[in-house]
Amino acid sequence: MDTTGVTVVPVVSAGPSVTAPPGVTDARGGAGVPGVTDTPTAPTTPFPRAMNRSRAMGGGLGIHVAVARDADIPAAEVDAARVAARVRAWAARLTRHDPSSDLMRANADPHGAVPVRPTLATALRWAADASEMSGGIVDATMLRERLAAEAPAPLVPPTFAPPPADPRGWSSALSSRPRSRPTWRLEPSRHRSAILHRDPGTAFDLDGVAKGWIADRALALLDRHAGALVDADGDIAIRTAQGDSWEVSVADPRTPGAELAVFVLPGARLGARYGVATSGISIHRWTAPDGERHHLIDPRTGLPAATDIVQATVLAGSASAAEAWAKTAVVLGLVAALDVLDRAPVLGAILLASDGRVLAVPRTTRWLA
Amino acid sequence: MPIRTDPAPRAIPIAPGHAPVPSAEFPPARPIAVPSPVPAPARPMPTRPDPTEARLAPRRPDPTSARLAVAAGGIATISALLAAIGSAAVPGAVAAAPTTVPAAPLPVQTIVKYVYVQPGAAAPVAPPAAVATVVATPAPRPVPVVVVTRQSGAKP
Repeated sequence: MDTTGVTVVPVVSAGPSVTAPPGVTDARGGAGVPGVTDTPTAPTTPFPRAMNRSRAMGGGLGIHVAVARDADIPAAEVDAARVAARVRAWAARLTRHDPSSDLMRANADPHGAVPVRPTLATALRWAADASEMSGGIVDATMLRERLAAEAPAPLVPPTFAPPPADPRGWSSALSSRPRSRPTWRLEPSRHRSAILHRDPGTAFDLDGVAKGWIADRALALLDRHAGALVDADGDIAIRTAQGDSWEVSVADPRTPGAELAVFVLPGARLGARYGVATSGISIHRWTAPDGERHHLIDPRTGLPAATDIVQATVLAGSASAAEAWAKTAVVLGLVAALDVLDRAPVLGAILLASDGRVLAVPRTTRWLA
Repeated sequence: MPIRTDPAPRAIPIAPGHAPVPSAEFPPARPIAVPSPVPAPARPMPTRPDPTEARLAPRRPDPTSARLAVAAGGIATISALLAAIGSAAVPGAVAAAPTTVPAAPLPVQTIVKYVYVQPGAAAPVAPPAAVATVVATPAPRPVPVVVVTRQSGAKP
């Protein structure tokens, strides 16, 4: 286990220029955000923190635990290491890079009904929710399209089918609705397992929804501590204690070490939960014979999304929701993303456009340092 | 000969042989069921009007509302007539006729709201009211940042 030890982080000050953050409902009419259950309070006292850093899911994994006293740090360190081990176990079941993972074994199963174990079943349920929430933009059944994009062969647009109805009414922005995808469903089974029913040829890729979901799940294991933060390779779940605060920097992909903005996430009397996630097309990007490609597939076309957003960072009430909305924003493009995010249940969003502009939905500024 | 009347009427004995004899042509009278007499409702006795009421003036409805209604109707009629005369006097005026051409859909303008963010941007004192707001004035941040959100796979 790669544990770097205990790090005590000094007090994080919100600074005098930060106004009182909003509560559950945004004053401009934004939708309620689950997680933040009370008006946050300004940080006043330091909270010692234990930290565990390791590698998982192809990137860095950081488990931060805030405790009320220095004497609680050893126990927090043990818990952080335990949670990190659990995260690696979950990731091993959900990865598409290991043929022996639960996910890839289900993908390889030729039957239409496949039993799946609890972790994969729960992750697939979230994938279904994310698809509904995003109007079909977040689609976990894009494995074949993604593999085709990663292959050097020229991409052939798939044939289109009539678009499905958009149940959430996002659709002034989602004017081009997702094409019909193979249907699948989960039938509950014993002990939180499930039977996966799917059309022939349906293959799942949870890269777009698993990290935030894992971060939220890991954060729930640290409930006995005053506060905690789980950083699953950039998708972050946070619970802030009253009087405490976390700072989360948004990396600028154009310059190593630079930042686009900094979120200050204070605690609240009844607890405050946040999620921050970033999605973009500037890292997983490669050159194919027919041009530049990236890994974010637009389910409306089955091809890498033609977008003018390089990177989207979303602040929401959970990491899983933030990840889904960030990916939705990148796929939609700048104008549609700003429209959708302005109405979505998120606390804020920062978008880096391909022309270099850094834009945010207006309520984001309340959370900036 | 004076005609005398019998002050005490007496029954005249019927001579034998004149007694009614039942026959097929004249069957005996059947008893007729006569409904029991119902006491008739008592008629209201005409009462003499109170001489004091006769002196009061008869009550009549308040004519104000009726007058107002009539006046309003008159004004409406005159207005309609004037409008009709005015429109007829305009050369080329065509009376409105019901049309079957559907109205063109109104263009819907979507206002996209956003703000610019610069490194170290500070929150404004009041929520931004304009559609686009430039947030400036980088604020010093003495506290090091602990956590960074970045695209997956990006090197720290």
